[in-house]
Amino acid sequence: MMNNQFSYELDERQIKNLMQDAELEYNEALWNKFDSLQPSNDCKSSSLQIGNYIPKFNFSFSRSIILPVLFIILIGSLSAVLFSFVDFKKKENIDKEIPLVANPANFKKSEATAAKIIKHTEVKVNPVKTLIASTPSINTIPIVTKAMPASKTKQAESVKIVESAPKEKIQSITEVKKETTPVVVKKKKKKLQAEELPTIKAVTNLTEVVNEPELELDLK
Amino acid sequence: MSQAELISAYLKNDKTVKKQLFETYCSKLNFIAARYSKNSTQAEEVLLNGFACVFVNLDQFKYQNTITLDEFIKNEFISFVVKYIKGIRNEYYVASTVKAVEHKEKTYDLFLDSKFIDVNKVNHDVLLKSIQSLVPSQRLIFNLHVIDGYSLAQASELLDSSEQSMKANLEKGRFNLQKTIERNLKLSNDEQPV
Repeated sequence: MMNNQFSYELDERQIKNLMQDAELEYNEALWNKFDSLQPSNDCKSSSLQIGNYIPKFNFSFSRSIILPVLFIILIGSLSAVLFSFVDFKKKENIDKEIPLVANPANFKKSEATAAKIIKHTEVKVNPVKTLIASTPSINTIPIVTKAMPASKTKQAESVKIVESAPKEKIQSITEVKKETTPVVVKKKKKKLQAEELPTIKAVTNLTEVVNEPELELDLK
Repeated sequence: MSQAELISAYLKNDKTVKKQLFETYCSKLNFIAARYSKNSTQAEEVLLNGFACVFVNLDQFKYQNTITLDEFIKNEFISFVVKYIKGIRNEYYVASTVKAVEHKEKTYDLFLDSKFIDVNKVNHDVLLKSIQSLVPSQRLIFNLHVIDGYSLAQASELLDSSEQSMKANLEKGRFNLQKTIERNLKLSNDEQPV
């Protein structure tokens, strides 16, 4: 490698004078060669090309600029990531508890009445036995009627089961309500017997003289 | 014939005018090509292609009012040569590295006694060969900056490279050129009969 001890001994001005105006001898063979060459358009000067009118921006970045900038960006991004984990909120904000407000929409209970309550209907069963007994001849009609009530009774039974469920639920809800309501026990005050005072008859007639007991005054 | 008449005649495809222009500028441009190239064969190749390029762009001279025809042709030729040399990528990018490794001990000999070199006493051919022996990147910047008077900014724009790398290449070029001239002078002195 080059060293600082190196001392440049060439006189560049002399070199310039020697080399700038120097010429080589003209050779006719060169013209013949040149004449045989076909002109190429590759070296068309770019002085009149459209690209010349566009301003050229030449930014030269050296390593001494790029590397520090890259490191600064890297450190900045890392610190930003670290700060994202840290909360800088005031203590008051942390202590404040945000009251939880129940949203009634979330606690909508399915209405107990939503299920169709089928009313208990008593199915009247026809007295089949009596019919059979009364008619000795074979008759198909009553038998049909016999079959029908059986299905009806089954339906009725099933209906009963459906009906019973919501009732129980309602009862339970009411019981819960009763339990939750605070029972205030009122203490019964004992009745004191009032003293009977002597009544004075009111004067109806002003003309009459009433003998009232005089008050004794101590005038000392 | 004035310059304007020459150009207008050339634009009318007058072959004699073309030859006249070639003869006028050939010797000068030939030496420029020799300075920028690594040897005489490459210099010839560069010269012919460069002349062709100059003639193609000659019609634009009428737009250049600030410089003379000589300067215009020289500038056009140099810009072509630089692009041409840089275009040989296997030489420009690879050869410089390989050469630096190969001649590490020889060229960077720091303890070699360096006496002041009087360039006037140095043979013209020795100086040319010393410049040609530089690696392309160093040769281009040395020619552009030291001999042809381009600033580092202009050279970096022409070579499409940073100014910092231009500076580094120029320093290495100066160092290598001095050592090469010293070596060549030593060799030429040894060859001389006592």
